[in-house]
Amino acid sequence: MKILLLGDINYDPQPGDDIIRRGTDIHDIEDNSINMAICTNLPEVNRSEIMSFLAGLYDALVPEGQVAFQVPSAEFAAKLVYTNQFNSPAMFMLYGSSKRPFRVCYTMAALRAIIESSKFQTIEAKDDVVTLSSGNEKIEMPVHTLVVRKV
Amino acid sequence: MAHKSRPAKRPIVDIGIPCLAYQAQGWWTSLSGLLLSEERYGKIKIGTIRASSSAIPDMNKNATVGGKRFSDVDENRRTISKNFLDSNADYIFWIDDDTAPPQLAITKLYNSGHDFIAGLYFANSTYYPVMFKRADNSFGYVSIVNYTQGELIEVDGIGMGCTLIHRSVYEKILDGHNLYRNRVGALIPIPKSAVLDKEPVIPKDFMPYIQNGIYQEPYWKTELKPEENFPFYMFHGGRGEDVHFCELAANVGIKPWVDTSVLCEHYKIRSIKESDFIDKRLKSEGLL
Repeated sequence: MKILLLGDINYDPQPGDDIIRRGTDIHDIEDNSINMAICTNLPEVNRSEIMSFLAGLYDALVPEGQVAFQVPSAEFAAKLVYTNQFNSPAMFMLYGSSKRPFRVCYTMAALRAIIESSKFQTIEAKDDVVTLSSGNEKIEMPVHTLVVRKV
Repeated sequence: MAHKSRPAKRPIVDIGIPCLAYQAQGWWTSLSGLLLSEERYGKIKIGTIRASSSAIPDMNKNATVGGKRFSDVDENRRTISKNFLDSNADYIFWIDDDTAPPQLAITKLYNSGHDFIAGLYFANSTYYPVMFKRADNSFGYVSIVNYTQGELIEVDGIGMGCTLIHRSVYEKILDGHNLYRNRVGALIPIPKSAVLDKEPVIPKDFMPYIQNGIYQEPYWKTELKPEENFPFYMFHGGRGEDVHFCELAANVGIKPWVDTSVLCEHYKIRSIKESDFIDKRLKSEGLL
């Protein structure tokens, strides 16, 4: 199975998996070639380039191919700001890091709207909590997980 | 003329509406908008509109005119289900006569690829979402109130006010259950996996009893009578008939999904919307 990983993702390949890693530039990926993609770097894509990025990802998938998007929850981060709990996890959720700055952050509704307008069909959309580690420091971060398919 | 984005072959969706003798004016407008939008732009084909009505306000659950009222059974839904299964339709889309789905709701639910999926509406008095998970204490169900707007999630129970169900769900329920009758003649569907009996012998004078907290009552295996339909929808143990259906589906490995982006209005004394629930939630969190 040909798997495309977009973002800083730890993935344990299974026998037979062909792993391709890219950043926000996927123009060289052949059309109808990817069985599954995991994308955690959507917030790093410039606002003006999001639709072409998603169109490229759609074209790269085989029919019925699936993509799992995962982005920090803008609702949760905004709630922290609104209730004066503006800490480093909230900063990261809204702005990313110096190495990977975020250009856009997404609510679940906004994420679905933009992805469904790129012809993807949503199979599952739910909130998860992921654990991020930097050295000995670990933080738990609410994220939106969206699983979509190409029709 | 059909919209160019519509596929050539579209699944047939029957519309099931258990209803009272009257509806709110806004509901008719919404229903017309839904059907017209599906016909014009949708990816499904509207089949038969199956309405079964009651003449008295009995929660629109039982046909009291022209049909026998069976104890504990939503006869309206059962009649509609029977006629749907006898047709060539692929799906049935349930609407209550007080829930108003948005335009293209059926197509959006169909696009998810799930065989059993609902839109979201909100209860009259509490404004809580009509989607449930089993309670942690194992008694009954609780509303899922901490959802994120836009989620598309698997749940334990839903209402039937905006619900798309593929016929395979009904067929798997039929295949996966045996029918029994209790002492008063009520039909009880029991999952085949839960039937441990080989050749049961029930004494004629058997009286129900409780032992070690488990209620013992004789059930006799049975078949449907000509005037009966399979009891997909029953009122039992304080649950709604819709939650009973969810349990039958769960018995055969199918759980309902809810697309919280398909938001319905719920016509009561006034129209209940998601904004009513969000206001309540923000106030409870001290954010409003």
